[in-house]
Amino acid sequence: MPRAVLAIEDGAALQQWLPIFLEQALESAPRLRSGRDGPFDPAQGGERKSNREPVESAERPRRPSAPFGLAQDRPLGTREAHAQWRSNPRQAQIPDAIQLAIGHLLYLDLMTQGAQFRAGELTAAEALGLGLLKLARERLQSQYARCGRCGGLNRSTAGFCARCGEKFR
Amino acid sequence: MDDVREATIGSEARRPARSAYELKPDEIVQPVIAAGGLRLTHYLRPPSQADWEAYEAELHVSVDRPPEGIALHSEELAAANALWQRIVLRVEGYEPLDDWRERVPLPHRRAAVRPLTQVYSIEPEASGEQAYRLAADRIEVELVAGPNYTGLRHIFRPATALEAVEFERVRSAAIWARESPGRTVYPAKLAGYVKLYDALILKVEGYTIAGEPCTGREQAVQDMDAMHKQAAVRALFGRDHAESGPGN
Repeated sequence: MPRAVLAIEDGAALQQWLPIFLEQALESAPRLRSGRDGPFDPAQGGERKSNREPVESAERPRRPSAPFGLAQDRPLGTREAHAQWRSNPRQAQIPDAIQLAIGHLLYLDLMTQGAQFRAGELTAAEALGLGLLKLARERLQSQYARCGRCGGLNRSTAGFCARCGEKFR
Repeated sequence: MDDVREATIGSEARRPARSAYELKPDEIVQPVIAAGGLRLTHYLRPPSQADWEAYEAELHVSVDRPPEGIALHSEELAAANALWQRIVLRVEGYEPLDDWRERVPLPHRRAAVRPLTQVYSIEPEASGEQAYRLAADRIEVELVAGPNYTGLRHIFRPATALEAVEFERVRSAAIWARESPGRTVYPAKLAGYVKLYDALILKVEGYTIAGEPCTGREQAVQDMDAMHKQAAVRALFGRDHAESGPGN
């Protein structure tokens, strides 16, 4: 019998999926994504036209077209999906329940920017989830660095900026 | 399976010849038209919050994401049956048998209670709002119920940050199992929405109790149909959602 729990209370699952969610969100954000992002060109059907040749990073697979891992072309809930996740987390489809829980955490995170909550006003699961969100965000930020020339976001291991070509030391 | 459709309009509506929604009728008269046009009548009592919670408990709403797409599941027939079993008083037009409760076909039961479940909010644009009010000290939500009732207004005070968080907590609740990650089960949410409604409601319009207008906050808290409370609260918080329109 599967053990069914409220997604927000499954700390282990949040710990597993939060980094993937954030990374997928980051790579889906056009202004932050490096490489294929250029000036906005409505003539290209809304696609951003690069002023440089596209740079395909060996460590970065092509992203799905739908943001936040919501693309329907990837299987979920199957052995294949699990194997896919094991081989490449960034391509994984995040379960709906976990997406809802993460959405709730992001909402709480936003609310805490404008209002202070006392300990008793959040559930223990929410407080833990916010902590996990903070950790995942910090870890992700440590993996990226901004280009000093154009501001493009690149993996900290990159040798050059995928947007402007600036070489990094 | 019996072919059944609901009577929807005309003098045989379940709360006949009233312009307002009566919250405490002696009984709800619901015509049901069976296959062949046979006209039947179900007499129901107004459902309580406990009745709606029993309905919701049987509904078992879930979403599956198999590789080929997405599938929404709900046990609507079972839920309607659970509600009908609790609130039916008597029926007319059927062969008189002592065990009629066990013999009335499931589709008839569903047709009898379905109008009670059909409570929806109207978009602000459709209700005539000309401008989004940024500093409102009261927020109005309009509902339609079943086929016959429109202009059901619920007037709320603005929610606090904690109440907004509580709404989001209820709304986002979802159950999953690691062994079947493609399946999401949505737990019962009615009680959470009702609690918020009771905290936020100021007054209602378009409802009556024993023929008299129901306007006071206490009456709304005590006597408002829980399904209406749920729809109104969801509309209240949903009004802040927005999407980008066409343009730059």
